Amino acid sequence: MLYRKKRPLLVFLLPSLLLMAVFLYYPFVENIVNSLFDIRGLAAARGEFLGLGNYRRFFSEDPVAMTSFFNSLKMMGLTLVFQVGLALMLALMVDSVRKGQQLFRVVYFFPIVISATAIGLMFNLFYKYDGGMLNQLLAKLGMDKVLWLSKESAYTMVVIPTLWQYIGFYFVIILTGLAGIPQEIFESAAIDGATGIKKIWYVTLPLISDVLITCVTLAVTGAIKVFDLPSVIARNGAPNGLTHFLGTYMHNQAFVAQNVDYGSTISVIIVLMGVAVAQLLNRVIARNSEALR
Amino acid sequence: MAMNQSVETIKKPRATVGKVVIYVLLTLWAVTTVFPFAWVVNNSFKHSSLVVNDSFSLATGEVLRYDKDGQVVRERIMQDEYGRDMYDKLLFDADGNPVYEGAQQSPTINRSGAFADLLSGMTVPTDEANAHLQAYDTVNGKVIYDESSPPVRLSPTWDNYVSVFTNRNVNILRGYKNSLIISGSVMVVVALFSAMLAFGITRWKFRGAKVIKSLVVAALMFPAFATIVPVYRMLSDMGLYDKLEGVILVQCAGNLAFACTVMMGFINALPYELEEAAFMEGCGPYGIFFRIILPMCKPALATVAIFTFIWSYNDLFLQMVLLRSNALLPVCAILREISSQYGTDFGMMAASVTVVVVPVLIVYALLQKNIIKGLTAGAVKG
Amino acid sequence: MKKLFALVLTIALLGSFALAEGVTIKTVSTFAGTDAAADTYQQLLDQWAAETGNTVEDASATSDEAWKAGVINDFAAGNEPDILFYFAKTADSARILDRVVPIAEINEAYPDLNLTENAAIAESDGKIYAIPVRAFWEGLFCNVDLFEKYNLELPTDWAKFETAVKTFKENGVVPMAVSFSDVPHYIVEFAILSSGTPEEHKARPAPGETVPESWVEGMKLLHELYEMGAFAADANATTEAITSQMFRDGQAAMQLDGSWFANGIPQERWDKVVVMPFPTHAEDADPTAFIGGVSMGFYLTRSAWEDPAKRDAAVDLLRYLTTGDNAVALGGFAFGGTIITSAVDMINNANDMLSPFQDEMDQEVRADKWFSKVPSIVDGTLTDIDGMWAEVVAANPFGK
Repeated sequence: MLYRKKRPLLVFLLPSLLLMAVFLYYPFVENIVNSLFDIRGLAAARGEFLGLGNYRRFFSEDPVAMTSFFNSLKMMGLTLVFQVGLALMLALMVDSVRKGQQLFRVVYFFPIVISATAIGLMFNLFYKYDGGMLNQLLAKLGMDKVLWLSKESAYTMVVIPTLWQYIGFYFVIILTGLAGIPQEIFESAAIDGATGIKKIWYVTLPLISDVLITCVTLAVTGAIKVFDLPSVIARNGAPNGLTHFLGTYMHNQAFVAQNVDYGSTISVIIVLMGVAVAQLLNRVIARNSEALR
Repeated sequence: MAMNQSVETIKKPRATVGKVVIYVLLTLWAVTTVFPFAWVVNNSFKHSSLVVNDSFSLATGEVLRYDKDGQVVRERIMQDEYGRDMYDKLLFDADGNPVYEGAQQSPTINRSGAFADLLSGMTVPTDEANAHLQAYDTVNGKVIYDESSPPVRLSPTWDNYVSVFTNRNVNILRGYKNSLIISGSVMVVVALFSAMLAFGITRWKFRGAKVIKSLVVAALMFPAFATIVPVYRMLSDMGLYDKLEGVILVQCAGNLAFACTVMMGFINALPYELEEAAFMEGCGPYGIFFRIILPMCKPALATVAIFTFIWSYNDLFLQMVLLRSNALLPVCAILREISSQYGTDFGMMAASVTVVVVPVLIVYALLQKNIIKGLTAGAVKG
Repeated sequence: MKKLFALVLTIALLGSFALAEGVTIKTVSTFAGTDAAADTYQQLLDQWAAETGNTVEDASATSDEAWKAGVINDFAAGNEPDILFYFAKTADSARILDRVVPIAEINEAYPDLNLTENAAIAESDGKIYAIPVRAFWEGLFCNVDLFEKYNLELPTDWAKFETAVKTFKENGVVPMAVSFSDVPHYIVEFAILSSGTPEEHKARPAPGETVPESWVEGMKLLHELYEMGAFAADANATTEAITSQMFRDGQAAMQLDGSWFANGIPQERWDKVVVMPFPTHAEDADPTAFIGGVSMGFYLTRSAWEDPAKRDAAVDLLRYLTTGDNAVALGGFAFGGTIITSAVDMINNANDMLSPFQDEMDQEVRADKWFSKVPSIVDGTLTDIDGMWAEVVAANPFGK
């Protein structure tokens, strides 16, 4: 009865939807069309009609595309566990202390505001083979130099800073969720004897399930378009194209190779895949949190 | 408050050990996040080559002395890997401003006739041409060192900041102003519009809600490059190309998906009771939105505002494509101009990052205070 | 009322008179940021404006892919400037040719100007649209002090080069600074030039043809150099920013790069660096040949040309920027010492100057079918060089 009239609904929805329709959806529909034509160069006109050729190429003829596809899938899992997981733990811990809370909130945010170029350079100087910081440390300990960005280890070495940089992002969002919980609930829970882990599991987590769903959505979509830090640390999927992600490969195709149609194809695949995985995970979480409640 | 204290007294023995562990863990993490920031600031006081060769040392250790003309000379002798001295020296005048040696000497942009001949029909440089060049340099005050003058290097050095703030072609303050106009507007519009959409979607039951939600999630992944060409043409047609308004509109659209996702999650979790009570008292949907939802959303609005501001502020790609006039460029675009070419000037880059980061940290520090507990509790009680 | 009307009319007339005195010319260039001639360029624009009473609205920026696309977009949307400094003879410039004026057409209408028509940047239609002010060369940069320190001769032939590589390697100096994943551009071109005659380098194979022997040998040479220890262990992984800095700081002995790279070499090392042709590996290769040419130039846009109010002024600014001392000043590089003298020697002694053939290749083919494979060629995981070139040629890289 409260929210029945349709006109206010329109007023609330229209401004956002209009902006997104004009500047996002309509251009993206053009992008879908672009994926069917041959386009050389960002501002070039559409050429020959290719049909689904680009999609065929992606799934059956392009080994680098497959590498980037699976790297991105792996990245989604890692993001969920390490970014959202760690951020949740940090947020719960920071939320539980009183002294220094403001300080932690500010410093945990630092990595996000520093540009990827600077952080990338820093990690490049960590990993550098001749005179890099990690190898200097090893030398001090009397150990041999290590090739940090070898074919075997490069993926891990690229993923570590990428995960680390954005933990603060989920940290802030989860804090927001925690801020939304009415204090009385904790107080009554404490009287009922729920403390520590128990309190978190039975009281806090169900209450922030909506925010956790938000985090999962953002994590999955963020993981799939991961781009700037990897592209600075490992140029063009270095070494040997092994560290390409869908995001970096798409950017590489669109800008370096000037292969806009294929870049568009990859971005369509990114969106489809991201939406599918996000919906799936949301359903799983929603079901579980219902059960907890 | 009394309740809180009693709760704490009950679990005190375990809590202290637990607290120590928590603080240790939190501090360890803080070390990893502070380190890069300290690294950047420290390196912003170093010359480019020192950033790479000596990036993890502190920028200290200079020696001060007076030279025969009574000018302050700062010196720091460093040795590189091969045991060679890296000679750093900078002169200061009586007011402590850096004076470059060689500034008065003739510039030596070296060209040769043979090289110029590569271009058919190109003029071979003459003495006259050199005089011409010299004139520019006197006017610009740009220093091109004579080969005989000693190298100018200092560690630590303000050179990078001096270059950033005194670059002839660049007006950093104007850049800040443009950035604040763009990112400030984007921040406000996105926060308000996303709260409205989230309110509508979570409170009304209507067909199409699911579709809209999926559209929002999909929009999270639209890469800027995929939409840039149609967007560019649209802005040109609307007469908004190379206008701050154009960038603002496009960035609003780009940030709305994220903002709506966060707001939907947050508003969905808010209890209905207050709204029902307000409805009973005769409040309509608009009243509820502005008087109840928005105040309760403070933490989420702050979060959305923070990230929208940062992303808009750092969004070089859109700024570069949609703005052309130098007078309209935001600070990030300006700094990119002066720190990149012939590879990267690492020292200058570190200084630029520091200069860019400061406003963001201020905005964050101000806004994050709104992410605090008890807002809803207080509201419910009242 | 009448008086007021008269006043307004007078002001309007005066205003239009003031406007008629000068026009506004819009310019776009890459003379910005830390470009050696950025200040000179601004100064020239100011001087020209002061001399002619016209106004210049300049929007110059450092070039990157977004900027390049932005310029093309400008044309597509009718926002193009009047005078443009942009790439010539590339896939990008090909897209704006119908919107810029051939130099010959300007010379015909303004016979006194006699603007330079540089055949090196004639587009595929045979016409020349741009006036270059700056040439580039590429060569082997050597840190002479490192050669002296280890009593090595400069690598004027392959034997000396090999000795140098081995000695540096033994002493923990990186012999050649390069990042294969990031910027393989220069080394692949020189490896091919070193492995055969300049004629082979000039080949532009069409589909169905096979590539010259030197193109195959050149790629094999990269792996040979790798085996020899010429590169840092992380040459496939690290970035160009890092490796270039190693050369500039004297931690790496040699680097193949272009004249723009010399701009970043600190002044105290200007006399410690020389440039020379890359030593020849094949018997029939030309030890004097180097790679160079022109890549950018000033354009006059069709819209300015067809605007009677602007035409004379725009043509005059074009003349102002591209002739005489002004052109020389814009072409200046900010380096000196032995870098420049050795580069001049390299150029003067050369029997042949070759343009980098990779620039004429379709970017998509070049990136996907060639450059992305280079790291694997270097470390030996890809040995079927003929197969790789067959794929490249089949995609018709020079015909598109």
